[in-house]
Formats: sequence, structure tokens, C-alpha cells
Amino acid sequence: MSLFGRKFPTPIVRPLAPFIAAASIVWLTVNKIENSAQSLPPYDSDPRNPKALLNKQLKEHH
Amino acid sequence: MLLYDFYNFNLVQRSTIKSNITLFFSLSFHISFRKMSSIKSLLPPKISVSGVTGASGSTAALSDLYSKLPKGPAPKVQPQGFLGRYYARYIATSSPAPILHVSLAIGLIGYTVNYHFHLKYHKKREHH
Amino acid sequence: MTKIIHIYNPLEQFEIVKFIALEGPLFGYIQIGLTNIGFYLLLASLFIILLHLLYNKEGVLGLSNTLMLCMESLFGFVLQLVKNQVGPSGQPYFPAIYSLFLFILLLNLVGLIPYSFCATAHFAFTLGLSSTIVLGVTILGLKLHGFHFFSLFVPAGTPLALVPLLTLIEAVSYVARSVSLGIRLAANMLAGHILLHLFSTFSWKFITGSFLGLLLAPLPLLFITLLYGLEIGVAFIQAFVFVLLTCSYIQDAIKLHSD
Repeated sequence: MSLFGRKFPTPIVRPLAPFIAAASIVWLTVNKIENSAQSLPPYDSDPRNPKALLNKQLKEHH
Repeated sequence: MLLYDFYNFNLVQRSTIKSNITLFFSLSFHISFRKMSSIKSLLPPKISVSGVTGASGSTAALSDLYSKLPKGPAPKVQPQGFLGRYYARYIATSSPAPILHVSLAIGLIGYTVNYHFHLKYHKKREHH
Repeated sequence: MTKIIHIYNPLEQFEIVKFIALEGPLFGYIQIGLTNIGFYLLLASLFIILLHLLYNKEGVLGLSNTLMLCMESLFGFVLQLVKNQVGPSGQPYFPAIYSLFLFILLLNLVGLIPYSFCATAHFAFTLGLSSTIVLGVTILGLKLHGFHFFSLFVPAGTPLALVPLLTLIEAVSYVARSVSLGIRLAANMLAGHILLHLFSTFSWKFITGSFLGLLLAPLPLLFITLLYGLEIGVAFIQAFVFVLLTCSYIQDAIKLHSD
């Protein structure tokens, strides 16, 4: 692998594959928790909630 | 380039140490000084140009070879680019100024961010 | 006579703000934005790359300047750490551990510059990092040893009656690693920054408050300077401890029962 005009003769992706997988799992889990927490009833219409507008629109739609 | 033999986990030091600070640092990390037993590596390899130092013994060819070698101190290469000039000015001279430069640069960036998000509100009210 | 002193909130320095925000009802609801945490992470990464570009630009051998000396020392330090903790089988993980060490160290040090922002004082960042590491180590152990990996939860020489209880305790302590690793780093940095902010605010009020305060000004300034030195030490120690524990977790996963 060559980067910035230097060679790095060491395996990088293969030993780190478990950690890359773990990072994706953590990212997806946190994203899921975030999305579900932002649409919980007492806080879904809070002005500080970035998803408040969408939640309001969804409520009017249904 | 890093001086550590990565695949064998050995620390290899390949040249002499110039500054006194090195002594201070090398005590704590196992940077071993070159052993005297490996003094062989200091000696230059045998120069054998066929027919020059051989049995013929003609010194004319030898002096011709050495007369073509560059003489005097090596020509100074003008550093290129911002990084090259910065390196020649501050890093190669072991100046402590880069710490100040980095602190000032990051402090300036941080002040800009802080001014935009907090400090300009402090001027109007006590709390934000 | 009471005198009211107004100070700014010492927690205000930790506020997360969005520089660029990209939000919209796309794929559910995506929120992509550059917050100040992300900005300082990018800054630290750029700084690491710059350090390694400036490091030995001439291509000379040996320790010819202070930057080279510092980089070699850090490299040798982490190399010795990996060598002692993980052993030869941990060799492929050395680049990652070295990068992790430099990254956390630089984030800690960048956070100490006045008006700057400390990303490692945020539990959201450090817990994400530590849970990624512990989960990655678990996946690594499962990949290397399969089902046998769970023997990590049963210490050698346990009586059969105690096995269920000990397995439960070991499993809880294994999961708690992911929390403790992140909380240790963030709590140390958070406490240090709050302390520095409080003391500098009170010293400023003390010095500007009265003429006696102005005369005694060197005392609080000396104290802040000493505290700053302590915080620089804490920055190094916390980066070291984080990397040390990462090494020992990797070692646990690579060779089960290494005692």
C-alpha cells in the first residue's frame, strides 16, 4: 500500500477486519437507538429535537 | 524512515547520535547504541574496479577515478515548497517554535469557532 | 456585604455545535453533519499526517533533530508496549495501536490549548471508541477460537458448583470493559478541563477584583501553571492507559488463558 509517497509494507485491512465490522455494528446500533429515541412521545415535539418537524408532519399525515 | 526493524521486533540504530538530548531519551527506551563488535559495518566496502587495483598496479587509472569524484562540501539544496522550507527553517534546526505555531494556529481556529457560537452572545448578556 | 460574581458556565466549553448540517427525510431520516467533535477529529488526523510528513523530510539516517527524536521515542515506546503486552502474535495490530495512541494523545493535547475543544472529554466519542474496540476484540476471539472463546468466562480450576455464578460475573465484567475503558478517558479529561476553567475564571476575578489581588497575582498564576503541567501529564497517561488496556484485551482474545 502506498500513501503520501511512502510505502507501508504491512497488512492493514485483514488484521483490522474484526474492528471494522465492530465499528459498523456500533454505528448501526447507535443510529437505530437515536432514530427511535427521537420519536418517543414526550420529546418528539420538543423544539430542541432535530426531528421535531418531521414527527409533526408524520402525525398530521396519519 | 523509521529505524526499527519492524518484522523482527528489534531496535536497530544505524548512525551516530548527534545531540545530548538523545542520551536523556534513550535511557528510558531501549534504543541500544551500536555495539563495538559491529565496527565492521563502519568500514567502507572493498572497492574493486577490475584492472584498476589489480595486479597491473597502474596508479594512473586509480587517480583518474578519484579525480572525477566531487570535491569540497556537498552543494546545499534549496528547500522546495512550504513543507520543505518549514522543515529547513524550524524542524532541522530543532527549534521549539513549531509548538508555539501549532498552539497559536489551533487557538485562533478555536477562538473563531468560540466567537461565532458563544462569545458574541456573552457581550450582549451575562449568560447564554 | 455580599458581592455577586458572575462567571460563565464551565461546561459551556463542551457544548457540541453543528458547523455543517445535512438533514432530511431521506432513507428514513438522515442527519449528516460536521460537529465540532468531527472537526477536531479531522484536525488531529491532519496534524498526525503533517507530523509524519515533516518527520525526516531530508531522508537522513539517525536522530538528527528533536522532532525525529520525539517520533522515534513514541514509536519505540508503543512498540515495547505491544511487544510486552501482546507478544509476537500481536505484531499485525501494531500499526493500529500506534495510530490509536497518537490520535488520543493529540486529541488530549489539542484540547488543552486555550479556546480549543477537547473531543476526548465527550462520552459519546470515547464510549463509541471503546465499545468498538471491545466488540472488535470479541469478534476477533470468536474468529480465532470459535465456541472455545467462551472458556474465557470460566477461570481455570473452578469447582463445578461455582461455574454458573462465575460465568455470570465474568461475563458482566467482560461487558463492563467497554464502558469502563471509555469512561476512564472521558472522565479524566472532563474533570481536568472543568478544574482548569474554574480556577482560571476565579483567578481572573481575584486579580481584577482588588489591588491586593493584583499584588498577589503570581500565586494563582503559578498554581494554574502547575495544574496545566499536571493536565499535560494526564493527557499522556490516559492515552497510555487506553492503549495498554486495548493491548491486554487483544492479548486476551488471541491467547485465551495466558496466565
